[in-house]
Amino acid sequence: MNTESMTETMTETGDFAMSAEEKHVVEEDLHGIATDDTETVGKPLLAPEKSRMTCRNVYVYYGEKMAIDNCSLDIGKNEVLSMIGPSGCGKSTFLRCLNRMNDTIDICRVEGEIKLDKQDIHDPKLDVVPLRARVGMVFQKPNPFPKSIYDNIAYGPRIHGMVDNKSDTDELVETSLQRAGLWEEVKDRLDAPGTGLSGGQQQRLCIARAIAVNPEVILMDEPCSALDPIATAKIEELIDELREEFTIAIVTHSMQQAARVSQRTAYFHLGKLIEVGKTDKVFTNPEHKLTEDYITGRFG
Amino acid sequence: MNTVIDEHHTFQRYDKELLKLKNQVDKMGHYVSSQIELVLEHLDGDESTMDFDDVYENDVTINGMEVKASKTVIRLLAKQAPVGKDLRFIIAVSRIVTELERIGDEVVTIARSFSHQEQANPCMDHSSVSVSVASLLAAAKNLLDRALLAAQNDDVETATAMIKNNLGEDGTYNADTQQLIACIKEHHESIEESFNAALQANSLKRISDHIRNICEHTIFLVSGKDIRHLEGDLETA
Repeated sequence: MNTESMTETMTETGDFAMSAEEKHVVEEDLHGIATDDTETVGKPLLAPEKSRMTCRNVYVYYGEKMAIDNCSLDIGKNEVLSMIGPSGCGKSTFLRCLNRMNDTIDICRVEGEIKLDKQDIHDPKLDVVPLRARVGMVFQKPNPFPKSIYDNIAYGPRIHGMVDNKSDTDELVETSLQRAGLWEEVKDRLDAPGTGLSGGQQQRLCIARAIAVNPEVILMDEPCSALDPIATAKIEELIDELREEFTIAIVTHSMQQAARVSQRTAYFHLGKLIEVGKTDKVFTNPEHKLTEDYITGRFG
Repeated sequence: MNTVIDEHHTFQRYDKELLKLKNQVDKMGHYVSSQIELVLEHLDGDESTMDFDDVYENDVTINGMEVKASKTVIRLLAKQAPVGKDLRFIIAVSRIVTELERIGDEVVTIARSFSHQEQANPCMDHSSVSVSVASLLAAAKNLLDRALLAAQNDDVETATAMIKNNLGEDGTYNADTQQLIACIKEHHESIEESFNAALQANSLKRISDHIRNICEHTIFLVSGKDIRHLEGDLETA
């Protein structure tokens, strides 16, 4: 390949082109890192047309104890947003707000505004059951129903009235299992109990169950913490594929996982949302000292 | 670099590895600076001091330092999965180590050019030239020491000022190099001498480029901004 054609290729792919921001650096940008935690640094909010879910001034209390302190955050369409932070920082509490799973906790009180596609999820006219189909959840410990593999997938669409005959149900089960990357492994034993699968397979079954009801958002609370590295890699690959269809918010203790799978990362600390930004930036040049200390392992 | 070292990780072995890398680059910087000093001592003497064997032997040591530091970098990347300022520190140090090794090579090139020289370089003695290769080399050593100190102290201000002022405090270094090159063009009657002088001028220019690069790597380490290959100069808001 001669020099001229190499240059053309580089320009076409854009891989080697510098962005406008990279070409022009202002001297004032070279100094300082934020230390004040009264406001979230970075870009927690997105343009309205890019947001799937919006959260404004969210507070969460367990009894008198404040667990989330004035959090405002947008989750974009077709993005993977990772939420990181030390244990007890509120990231799982915040995640559960997004499909009102905190309603199941008696002493939990949520204030503020949370919208899904511009619709307030706390609107009294909104039925929470369909909400939890639109905003599905995958938990840390795989929890397949004590049913067959087939019925694990079919149960949700049946009760939501999405299917009314066996042919449609069969097709939906196959499609869901294929999208979760599990079909080839289980197609010959759909009547076998879901609990008989390996940990990694069970988790993919749970993901297939979530996507069978055609969600818009999938919430994942440490989905790989109980899995071995191979199963983890398969789930991460699946997350990467699912992003093309769904919006995904994932809580994880593994910073490397957050760095691998997500486009934006949010750092929580003692109930506050400290920083939100592009994952590349958060893990190479975070704007807040608390974020920097956490990701680099300076825990005091 | 000091900020990364002074703020400790919970996993203390990580701190020890980072300190090891910092010590390696500090030592290498000091060694390269001393190498320039050694060449200047030779140039300050008579013809009998134009045997640069000690300079050539030291360069082998400098090359070995680069290899060792590179191994430390690889080990840190593989074992610690660094992020944030730790990652920037490791990347910046690996780049600075390369710049130092290249400066060492240029110093050897200058030394070799003098050892091959049979007559005095007319561009060293010409009355219209106010600088000599030796004085430019001494200026380069001072600039290198300043750049390395700025890197050690995370001194973005000094690194930025050195770049904006074209390295010298009054921009003289590169201007003087250009003056030397102009002299070489004028005195082209002796091809061999002119060739040697051109080699020296070229090496001096390349040393200044590597010193500028060290300043850029310091800015990247501290601020996370990569200011290499900007369109125009560093802008002021």
